[in-house]
Parts: sequence; structure tokens; C-alpha cells
Amino acid sequence: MQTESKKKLWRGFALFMVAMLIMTYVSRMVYVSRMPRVKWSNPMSASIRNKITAEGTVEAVNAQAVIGMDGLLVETVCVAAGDRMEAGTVLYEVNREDLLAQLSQLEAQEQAWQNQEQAKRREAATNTTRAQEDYDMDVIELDRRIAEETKKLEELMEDLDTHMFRIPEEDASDEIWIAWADERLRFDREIAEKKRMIEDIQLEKEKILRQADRELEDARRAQSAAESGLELGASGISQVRERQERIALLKELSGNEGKVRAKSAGEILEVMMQSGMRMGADAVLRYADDGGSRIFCTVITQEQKPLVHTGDMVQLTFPGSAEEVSETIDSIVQENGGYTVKIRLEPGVAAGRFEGVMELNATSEIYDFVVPVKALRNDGGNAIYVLEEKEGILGTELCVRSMTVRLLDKNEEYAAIADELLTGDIKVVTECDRELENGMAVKE
Amino acid sequence: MGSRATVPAWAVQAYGKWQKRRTAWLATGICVAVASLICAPLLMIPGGSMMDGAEMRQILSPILGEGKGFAVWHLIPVYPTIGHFYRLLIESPAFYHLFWNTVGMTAAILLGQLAVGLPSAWAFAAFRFRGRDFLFGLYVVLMLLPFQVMLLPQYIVLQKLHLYNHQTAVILPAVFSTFPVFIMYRGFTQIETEVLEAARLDGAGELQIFFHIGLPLGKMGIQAAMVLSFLEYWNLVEQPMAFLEEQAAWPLSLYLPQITISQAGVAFAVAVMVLIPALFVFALGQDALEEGIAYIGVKA
Repeated sequence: MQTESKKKLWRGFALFMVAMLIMTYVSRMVYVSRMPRVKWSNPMSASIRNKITAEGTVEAVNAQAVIGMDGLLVETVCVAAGDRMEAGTVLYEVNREDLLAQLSQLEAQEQAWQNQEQAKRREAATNTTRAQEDYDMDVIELDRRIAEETKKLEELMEDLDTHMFRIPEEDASDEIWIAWADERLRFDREIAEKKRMIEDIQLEKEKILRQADRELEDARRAQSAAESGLELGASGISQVRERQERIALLKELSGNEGKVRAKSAGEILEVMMQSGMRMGADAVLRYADDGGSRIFCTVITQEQKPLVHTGDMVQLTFPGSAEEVSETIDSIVQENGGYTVKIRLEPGVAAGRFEGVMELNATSEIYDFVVPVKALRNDGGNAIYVLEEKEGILGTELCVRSMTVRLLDKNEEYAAIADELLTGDIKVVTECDRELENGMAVKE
Repeated sequence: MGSRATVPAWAVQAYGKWQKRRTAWLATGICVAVASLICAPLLMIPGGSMMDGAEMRQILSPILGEGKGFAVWHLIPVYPTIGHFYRLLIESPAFYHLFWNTVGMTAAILLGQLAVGLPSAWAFAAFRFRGRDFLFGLYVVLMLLPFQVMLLPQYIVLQKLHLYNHQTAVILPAVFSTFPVFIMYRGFTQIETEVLEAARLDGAGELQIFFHIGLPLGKMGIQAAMVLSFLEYWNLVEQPMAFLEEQAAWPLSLYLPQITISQAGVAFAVAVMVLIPALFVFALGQDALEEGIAYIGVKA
């Protein structure tokens, strides 16, 4: 009985051990089947080639403006923003009745002004003639008086000479000598007075002639000014010219049946007028001239910025056009959290295009550790899983360890990373068939 | 003189029987109470192994510092589950790895003890030679020395032999353990000297005597030694902890410390699984164990 019981115990014990053996395999199989399968690669030393693509807009450097015909009434606007225009394209039409009315009004003003100016010129010429006559009369009169006084002086001189030949005898009485001397003294006084008078007349003549000459000069200047229109002043001249130019413009517009035409080919950027509006002296339309320079503007991200530099050669394409050009980046400016890249286009490039696409193939420096980008994961920062051998209860197992790294550069396929613990021998997990966790055992 | 009432003999007998029975019941009651106290941790194991994690956390919350009062154990779980066994037996290959490590190490130790200890014990029991008593006394002294005393010398020797961090570091010292020699020796001493002399007179060689007389007659001592050794080395903790760094070489006894408190249910399941082989061995060797312990009355 006891032997039978022991046999049962032995059988039970053996069964237990066999069951444990079987369960060992089952457990192993379950463990291995749940184990993620990974692929790995070593970091390599390489450069990162980036293809940066950015959509942008084509903008005119200096957009041309069409200034409105001040005061005219817009009849019809013939273009809209974005329209293509050629030289001669009708941009807008003005109201012809309003145009003609303004033209006739201006012409009337011009005519009145002309008449007024003519009268002024005539009056100035008369004044000049009169001044000349006055001058001539003064000369004659003063010359006459001088001649008259000179003649009197000459007569006095003759009388004096006569008087001098009648010198009294030596033995003549004192009264005779005194009378002769008095006579002689009188002559001298009269002669001196005449000479002074002549000098006074000459001085007066100079003074009068100077005054007459000035008056004549003023009259001539006034005549000259009247003839040239200088008396209007700068503003007056400007007004006259403006009026005359406007008349010419209105006449030309009238000749074009009130149609304002484009002077060159380009694209309409903005229309600031509408039918029925009376125009001011401001721009009513802006356009980009085909012959003018343009700028391609695009915005790149902060991550792309280190790869894009001023002077880099880029390819530009324009949707809807086969045109492809190579240009260099002129400037990169940080704006609104991004970086605005500006590329000046050659004249004629991207004519008629408002949008474009920039492509840049940037090759970085050679990095020490480059891994497939799929090995990179976001774990609050950039991190990779590295494959390591770990001693555990089951012996040496492969397991993954999360390693935080600094991302230096990346493209769609590869990423350049850096960390003090990185070596070329490290095994970086590039693929796995399920979600990994730090320290998880894996199989290759 | 008045007459005295005499108690009938049957009544005196009945009273005596009742007193004996009462004493027996009282002794039994005390023994059961003490045994229950001692076995209480063992009784917690089956319930704990099938207890839901949330329930266990609730029960253990005062111990974990997450609750107040005392932890009250449920012998029968409110929400029984076999999840812990599933996790242990299906999802934990490490458990099996360590289980088979333990099986291998224990088997190697037992076989080694048989190979080394059995002849030694026979020699002490069957032969009289110079220095025998001294040598046997040395065995007894070594048997009495605790492991902590031998730890450093063993460590140095194992390092010199390049056995450190290898299972041999645990197996080899155990193979030369003196305790099984002592038990087997006591078993062999139960064989009458005349029997051995008679065999020699009949022309039997020493090996024949050993195999045909010594082993069959000392079987119970050998079995007792093996059962005790099994129970000791199945639960070996200190030696592996001291000499084995690699987890892959550990025995199952070191698996439990690896389990965190959040997996207490799994720990109970492990305890159940660890108990099973020990129970089998105990059941198989119970008779021999009792007889062997009787042999070593002094030791017991």
C-alpha cells in the first residue's frame, strides 16, 4: 500500500517536472513572440543633403502707378487686379461730356489770361517810350542851360580882358585905382559865380539824367517782364503751365475719345477706382511693368534656416509656366517667427507670374554621426534607441536603451545627431515592428 | 465510629479516564494552536497567490504606508484570480530559467554528496584506523560551523580556483558538506559489526560488503541525508548571493527578491511553485527522514 502510494507520488513528481519542462518552452515562445523585432545600423560619417522647397510670391520691386486725371469723372474701368495688360490696353474711360466741359473752361481761362497779358505788355511799352522821351527832353534842356551859362561866362571873360587893358596911370589918383580894383574884383566875383553856376547845372544834369535813366530802365524792365510773363511769379508761371499742360492733356484725351491706355506691358496689381468716381491726383491703378525688376519672396522655417544662406543658388519655377531659372538668394530676414527669403529676379523673368516655387539643394558639412531619420523619435526632445547587450536572468539579451541626442541636421532620409556618448560602434535601432520602451528586450 | 461512604471502583476508573482524556484534549488543543501560529504564513500563500492585485494592495496598504490600522489577511480572496499564475507560468521565462538552475544545482550537489560523502561515511562506520576519531571530530566541528564563518575562506579559495561567479562555486563546497556524511554514518552504524565480520569471513571483498550490505542496510540514512540536503539546497540563498553575480546563474530562491511589492501576487504564486517539489520530496522521503532523524538523535 505504501509502495503504491510512493509510486503515485513519484509519478506526480515526474509529471510536475515534465509539465514544468513543457511550460518552459511555452513561456519562452510567448516571451519571444511578444518581443519586438528590430533592425539596426551603425552611425556613419556623412553629410546631409537637403532639398528645401518653399512656395512664394513674385512681387514687383517698384510697382508703377497710373495717376488719375484730377477732377475727371470715371466712366468705365476696363481692367481688374491680376489682369495682364499690353501697351495700348485701355485701362479706363472718362466721361467725355465732363472732359469737354472742363477743357472748354480751361481754354477760356487761358484765353482771358492771354488777353490780360497782352494789355500789360502794351502798357509797359508805352511807359518805356515815355521815359525815353523824358530823358531826351531833360538832356536837351540841361545842355541848353549849360551852353547859355557858358556863353555868359565867355562874355564876362571878354569884359574882364577889356577891363584889364584899361589900367590907370601910375600917377593916377587913388580913387581911380580903387575904382579899378573894385571893378576888377567885381569881374572876378561874377566869373567865379558863373563857373559855379555852370558846375551846378552840370551836377543837376547828372542827377536829372540819372533819375531819368532809372525811370527808363524801370520802364524797360517792366516791359521785358510783361513780355516774358515774369511778373506772374513762380507760382503763377506754374499755374499757367499746369493749366496749359492740362489743356494739352485733356485735348489729347479728348482725341482718344476719353480712353486712358497703358504705356507698357505688365500686370495689373491693384485698381483703386470705380465707375462714377471723380478722380483725384492720386494713383488710381498700380501695375508691374514687364521691363522692371521683380522679387521672389518666400518664407522658410527656423529648422530650414541653417541650410539656407545668402548667395546660395536656387531653382525657381512658376506654376503654369515651363520657365525655370537659377537665381541667388539676396537676403534672409527674420520676420514673424520665420525667415523671409528674397531673390531679385532679372528683368523679364517671371513676367505675368505672381507665384513661384523655390528649390534649394543644400549639402551640409560632414557630420560624425548620421543615422536614418526613422531612427529618430520625439521624446520631449530628440532621442534614439540604441541596441545593447544586457545580462539578465535569461542570460545575455538584446535590449534597447533610449538616448537623448542633439539634432544637428536632417533631411527626409537621414539625420545628423550628436552626443558625448555616441560612438561609431553604437547600434542604432532603425526599425521595429512594434512600439519600443526604454529597457525593453528585443530580437534582431 | 460511623460508617464511611466508599467510592465505587468504576467511578474512580471513569474519573481517571476522564482526567487523562482531558489532558490529552488540552495538549492537542495547545499543539494545534501553536501549529496554526507556525503554519499561518504557509496558509497565506495559496490565498495570496490567487488574490486580485487591487485587493492585495488594499490589504497591504497599512504595511505600504498608504493606509491606517492593521493589515488583515483574507485566507479566501474576495476576487480570486489565476492571473498571477498566468503571468508567472506563461509570461515569465525567467522563472523557468531559475527553476531549472535550481534543479540542476540541487541535483549536482546531491549526486556529489553521494559520490563523496557516501564512501566517507562508510569508511567512518566500517573501518577502524588511526586518527579516525580525530577526523570524525573534525567533520563534526566543520558541520557545526555556520556559513558566515566559512564565507571569506571559501571566497578566497573560489577566486583562486577561478570558480567565482559560476554555479560550481555553490555546488563544490556543498558537495563536500559534512552534514550528510554524519547522517549517513549514523545510518551505517546501525549495521551490526558481526554482520560485516561474517561477510569478511565468507570472503566478501570490501566493495562487495559496501554495495551488498552497507548500501541496502544504510538506505534509510542515505535517503534521510538526501532529503535533508535537498530541502537545504533547494532553498539555498546565502551562497548564491555571495558567490554568483550573474543573474543567469542564480537559483530560484533569488528570484523572489527581484519581485517588487506591486507584484506581490506573483511572489505568492512563485512561493506555491517553489513549494511543490519540496513537498513531493518530503512526501517521498518522509519515512526515511523520520528514521534518519531517529538515527541522529543527538543531532536532532
